[in-house]
Amino acid sequence: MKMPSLPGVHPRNATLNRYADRTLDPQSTRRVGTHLIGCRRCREVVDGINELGTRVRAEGTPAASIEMFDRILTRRQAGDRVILPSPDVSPPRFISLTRIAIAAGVLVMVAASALLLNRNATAATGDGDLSFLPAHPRAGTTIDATYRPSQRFAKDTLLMLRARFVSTPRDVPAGVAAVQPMIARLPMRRGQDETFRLRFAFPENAVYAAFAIEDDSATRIDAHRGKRWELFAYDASDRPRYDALLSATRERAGWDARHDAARMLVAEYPDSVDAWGALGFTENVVHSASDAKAIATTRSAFERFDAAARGNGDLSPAAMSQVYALALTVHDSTRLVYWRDRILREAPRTRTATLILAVRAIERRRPDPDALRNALSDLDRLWNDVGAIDPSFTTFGLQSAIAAGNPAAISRWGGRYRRITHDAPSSRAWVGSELTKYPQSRAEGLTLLRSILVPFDIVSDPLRGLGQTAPSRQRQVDGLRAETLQGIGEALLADHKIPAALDSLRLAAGVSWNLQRFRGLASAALAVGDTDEATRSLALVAADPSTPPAFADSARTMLGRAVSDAAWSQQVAAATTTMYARVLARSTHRPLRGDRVRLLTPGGERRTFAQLADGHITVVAFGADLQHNGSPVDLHAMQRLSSKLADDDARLVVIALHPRTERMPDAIRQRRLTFDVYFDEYHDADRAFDAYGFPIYCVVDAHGTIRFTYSDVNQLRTQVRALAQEWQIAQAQR
Amino acid sequence: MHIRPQGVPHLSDTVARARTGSPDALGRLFAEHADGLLRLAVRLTASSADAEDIVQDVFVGLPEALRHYEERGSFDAWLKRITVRCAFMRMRSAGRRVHTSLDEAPQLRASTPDLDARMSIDRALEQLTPTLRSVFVLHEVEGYSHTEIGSLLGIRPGTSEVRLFRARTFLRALLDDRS
Repeated sequence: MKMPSLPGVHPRNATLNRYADRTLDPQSTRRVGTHLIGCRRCREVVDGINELGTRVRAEGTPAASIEMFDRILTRRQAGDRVILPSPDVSPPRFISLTRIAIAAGVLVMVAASALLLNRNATAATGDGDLSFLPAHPRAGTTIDATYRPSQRFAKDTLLMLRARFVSTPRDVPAGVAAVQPMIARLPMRRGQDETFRLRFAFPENAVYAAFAIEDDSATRIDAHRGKRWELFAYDASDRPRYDALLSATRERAGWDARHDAARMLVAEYPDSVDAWGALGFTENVVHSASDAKAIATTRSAFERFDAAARGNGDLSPAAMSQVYALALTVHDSTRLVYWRDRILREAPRTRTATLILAVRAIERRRPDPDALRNALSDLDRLWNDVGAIDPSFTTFGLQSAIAAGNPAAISRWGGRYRRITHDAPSSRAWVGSELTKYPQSRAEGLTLLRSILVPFDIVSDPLRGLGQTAPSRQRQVDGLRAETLQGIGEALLADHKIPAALDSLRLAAGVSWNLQRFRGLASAALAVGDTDEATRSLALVAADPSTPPAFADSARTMLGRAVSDAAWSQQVAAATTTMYARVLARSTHRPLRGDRVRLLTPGGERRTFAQLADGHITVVAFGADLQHNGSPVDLHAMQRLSSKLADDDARLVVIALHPRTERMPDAIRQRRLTFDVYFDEYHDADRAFDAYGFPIYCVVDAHGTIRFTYSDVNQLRTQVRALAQEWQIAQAQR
Repeated sequence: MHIRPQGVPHLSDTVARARTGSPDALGRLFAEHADGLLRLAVRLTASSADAEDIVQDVFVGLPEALRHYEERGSFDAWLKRITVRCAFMRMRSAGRRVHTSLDEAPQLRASTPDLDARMSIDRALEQLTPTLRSVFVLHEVEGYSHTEIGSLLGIRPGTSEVRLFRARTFLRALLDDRS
């Protein structure tokens, strides 16, 4: 029996495709299904779609042969390596518009067309998600950003998209940011579908951008678990631009992520010497230069480039510099000499040649005045030849001027250094504090230092990192201000302006926890007979757990009879409370990256960091060397710390900078270490702590959260004690 | 409870050994995954020679790439994503544009006269532009969603959907003509 044809129009072919794919919404699925019952034409379309899929899946294809595997092994045995692209190209999303547009506040339009879908949906719990469309826009394209908020922004109606746009020229060497990134803060409003939307255009010259979401006061931030969201600029053939990937190797948070970007760069641009240079640079950090196996691919790439370039008598200065930089990266000293000499001969006015000559000048620097003077005049001559060509060159100049103790040269090179570092407050602090050491340049130094103390808006501070809250940045600024005040106070003391000096030193000592500052303030106070100030300052020193008990006796002797035993005890008790508050105020709350941190014991057994910490406050030290004398991590200090940590029920995890060998248990015995050293075989700890360097000391609290990073070895015990106090208070409150 | 038969190494053991460049472990991964990867690469590139090169490259670079594999999710899916990316890079470097804008009409390559009465689906796939073929293969054969395809190719999910529709339309037209 013929089915009656139902009234109504045929669904569009696109709808039938979605029906076949089962991606239509339930209501449309029912409607199309009903239509299909009576429409042979549409049924045939759907059947055809399904049949196509079945046919393509059923079609046979050649199988991988054993000969293919033999070829793979042969290539590997011959040293061939392939850098594979990252599988997780979470949509390389990107941008580009004009610098003028961003300076004018960027074209911002809150999308009026907020979708009406999911009207009743609540804010997503867990992580927020920021996406951009189109994913691969070209220069000048308008971008739609959509943020699906995490629980922390459940009640907000206005959020800010904070963006860092980078336009790095490709000839800047690795590790140098010569072009100031552009920072923008753009409002996003909650739409009816509960998402936050924003339409914006980007600077034409931006090649890479990183993003974070924050509330208006920048106290709550979603930075994609510290990774930030990012966009790459793509070229006309839909390939991520070279500069975009290169920027990612410098801009991403964490060395592992930078290394991933370098791998992407090499995978996309395998013929670029600079790309391999960037890979080698990050490999040296992530794998360490001693890990020859890990950097074998880069080394063999270098050898290929070197062989090809040597035969080319007409090589450009840029190409020579690139091969030279790669030789430096792979530590090939023989070939390095060839390229160094060739650059000096054939391209003497380039940045590379300048750096080579600058390094030669400072290598000749000796502690005798003549050698220092000669080095400085060599660098000045070089500057007159080539000018502001490289930040490192300018740093060498400033360091040489400081070593020579020449205030005029410090002023001269300080000015150059400040210009090339965009007059950052830290640059002003360094130059200013050096200038204040000399009577003839003290006034200039004080002016510079005082300029740092001018108040500014922390939320819109361009130096606030993406993912950094305003309070966290405020603490950094406070730290720099304290150093500056210390410098001003010492300069005023040198000029015998005692009351003003005491004011500055008191302000400097009022921020953070710094025993040297407390001692300085106490000395100045005693010099003018201010016993109260001196007592308070010395009590702060006495309260610190790293201060030997005998210090209290010395302090009492210095203070004489002016302070009674009871008053002294009271001051020390108050100072202890101050210590906890100030130390904890500078702590952070950073979770360990990754699900688990695997380490090997000296005997080769696997342990996780969680097992080793076992719910205790734990000091983690990166960079123990058991193979040579002079370990970067001070093993004697660790030995002393290890016994004292037991008092606070804290643990110590010391991680070696080299791979484990069978000799490790013996090495530990020979050094008579009373603590174990662990091996980061899987680079889990490097990743988890983002600790690519040594020595690095961190402190993790009892919940497994990183609370202090890059700690001073002398402050570890204080930090552990503060965390123990915090834990006890929390337990008591519970 | 899952009990692993004695003597059969667990995948993570094999991966750990392959990371160190162990030929045995690499061989095991090759035996388990190479066929699937080759099939995928052939369909994406429509060239057996290119596909073999891609799979070879994937396995030559695998020990080093595994250092970045975090053992989350399916290993096979991870490997396939790498293969897809390698295939796109190869197609791009060979000057075959993967990108097509939304407004650009899909075009069949100039088809060669086929002597067979019925064109095989693989031959039909060859006639598609790489852009359309990629979306079709990833969706129909590998079962990727449009969101995942968008993620892999850097296009909107909607664009992926449109490309799939166009690929199907042209394949059906092509196959019907030859039937």
